[in-house]
Amino acid sequence: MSRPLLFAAVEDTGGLLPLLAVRRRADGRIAALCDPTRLCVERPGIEHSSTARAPPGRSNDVSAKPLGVPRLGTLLAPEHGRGVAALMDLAAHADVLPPPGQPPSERLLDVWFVGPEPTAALARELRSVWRAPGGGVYRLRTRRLVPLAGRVAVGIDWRAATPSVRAVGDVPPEALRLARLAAEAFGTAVGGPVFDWLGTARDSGGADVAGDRRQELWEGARTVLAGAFVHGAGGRKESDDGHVLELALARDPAGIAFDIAHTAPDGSSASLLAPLARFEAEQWSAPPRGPEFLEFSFDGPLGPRLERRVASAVYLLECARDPNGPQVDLDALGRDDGDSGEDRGATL
Amino acid sequence: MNLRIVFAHGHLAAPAPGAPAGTEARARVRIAVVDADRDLEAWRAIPRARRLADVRSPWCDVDLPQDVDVLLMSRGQESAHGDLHVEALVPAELQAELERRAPRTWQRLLSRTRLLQRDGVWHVARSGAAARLLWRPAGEMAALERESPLIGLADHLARGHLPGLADPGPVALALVRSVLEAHWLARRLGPELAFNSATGAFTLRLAPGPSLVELADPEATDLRFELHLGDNTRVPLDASAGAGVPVPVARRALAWLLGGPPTDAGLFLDPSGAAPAEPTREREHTLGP
Repeated sequence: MSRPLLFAAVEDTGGLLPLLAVRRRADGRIAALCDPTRLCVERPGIEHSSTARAPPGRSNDVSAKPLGVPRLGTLLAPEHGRGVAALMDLAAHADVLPPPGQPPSERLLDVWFVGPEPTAALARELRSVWRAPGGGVYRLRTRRLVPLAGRVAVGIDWRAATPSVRAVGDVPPEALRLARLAAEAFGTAVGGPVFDWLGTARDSGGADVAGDRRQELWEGARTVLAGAFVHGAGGRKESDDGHVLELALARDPAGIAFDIAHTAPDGSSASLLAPLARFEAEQWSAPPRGPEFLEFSFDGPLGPRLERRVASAVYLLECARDPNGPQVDLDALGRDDGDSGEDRGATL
Repeated sequence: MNLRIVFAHGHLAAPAPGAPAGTEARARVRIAVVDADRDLEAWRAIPRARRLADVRSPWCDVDLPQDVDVLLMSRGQESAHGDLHVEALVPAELQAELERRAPRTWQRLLSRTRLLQRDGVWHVARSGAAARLLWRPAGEMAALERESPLIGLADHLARGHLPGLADPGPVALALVRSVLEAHWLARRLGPELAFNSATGAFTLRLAPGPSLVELADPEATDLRFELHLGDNTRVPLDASAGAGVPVPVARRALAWLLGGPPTDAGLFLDPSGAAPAEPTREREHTLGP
């Protein structure tokens, strides 16, 4: 089984999402897009900046571990970080050029899609002829990346003003709700289900809190919500003028939920039942920054559980010099049978 | 019967302290008596062994030109047993040094021995207008010029211009240099390069403008580009090693030519791209005090 050379992310719109993977290979071929402005191509002998490493406890996932940013400067300007052309630029940098004096060879590139099928425009772009540096062309193969059996995966892009949540494949609505809630609790942006509920009119089931009060209550709710995800504890937040927000664990048929109740100074109240998953505390000790994937398991006895927080691949791009050489074995990748751990980012 | 003086790879050393007046330099040589008819080569004792190590090793350090004179004189004595010719095998990289630092020795070798190149070497000569690639075969004194577009291009680049373009501008020069380094030296694209996979064009990521388009030919093994400048100028550039030029030699020559101002007028490489040298064990035997 050949190992993935490069992770890259392509949005369903055909854009290139930044990617947070560093893949170590025996021959030093590692490539990743760490944020929209950087393409990291590690080479043997290049020291990594220690300040660029992820803070301790940021993630347990090997594939998400130190996001070493080589001292190569900004490689991809933001405006370049879009489209298949940028993906091909990335591939060209990750690839080893053929030895001089050799006739050009076709180079194989596997692009793995996560989530929706590529749009017609993207598919057309992928089918066009892409030349490889040093002669020859890339042959692109596209495949669908499927989450492991019994798990659902949701992608969250934390960078957006309102974190965008995308389903990977068929995802039940409660998983999406959970992801939105997690995005709200652990993200830095303003907005999310609780924020929306606080501002919604009472006759629509909302708490109908407006202005500064809404922001104040929401910030309190967010802190308590994050604590609830990690520690499974409830909490209470009261504003100066008598608004009370109480957060309590509740049991619902789908598993553990979180009951958020608002009581206004006039005594009227509203409540929101939100699904709750158990998260590993150490996985959430630092705020997320880029896009990442949450993988939930819904079949446990205690309700949904965050199985994995994959701060990495949306799409997988595979470069192989020899088209007849070893191919990616999707099944083997999907099984993830403990092979050195470093490939775990390849499956969702 | 031939007497053969083989000069070692490397450099001449300064005369030893206490060496007779008129000593030009010290050289490492080994001396053999060769009987071509019987396919026999015997190391001959050196004229004046100074140290035990000199006796054990076939190499000895000799004063130039006195010890060469002694050897040439011994020719007369030994020729009583038959015809004795003296052959001097001098590595190509040592020839210019001998001529410069030991001119009397060089004249004696030229006039009184059969002077031959010791091993076949590639020689990048950078004297005068342009760099040239020469092949200097073993056992001859010939220097055969070989066509190498890459070396011509690198030489132009090092001098701040391109073939057919007197003033390409700094961006175009940096672009061509980056692409040459990527293809020949690093075998990877540098971060400064952007590659347009649709057109096969390289540009400098932070200084777009000139682009270098790789000419695609599915059968070709050579590396050809076309430099596109802003004013619709298109300059073809050939970055191929040239027929029969080994890739390691082309690679080292390129690195040497692009490596800044020249410190030596020439670069000598064996066919594997390494600097000519004696095998390691013999090199450990350094020149005496």
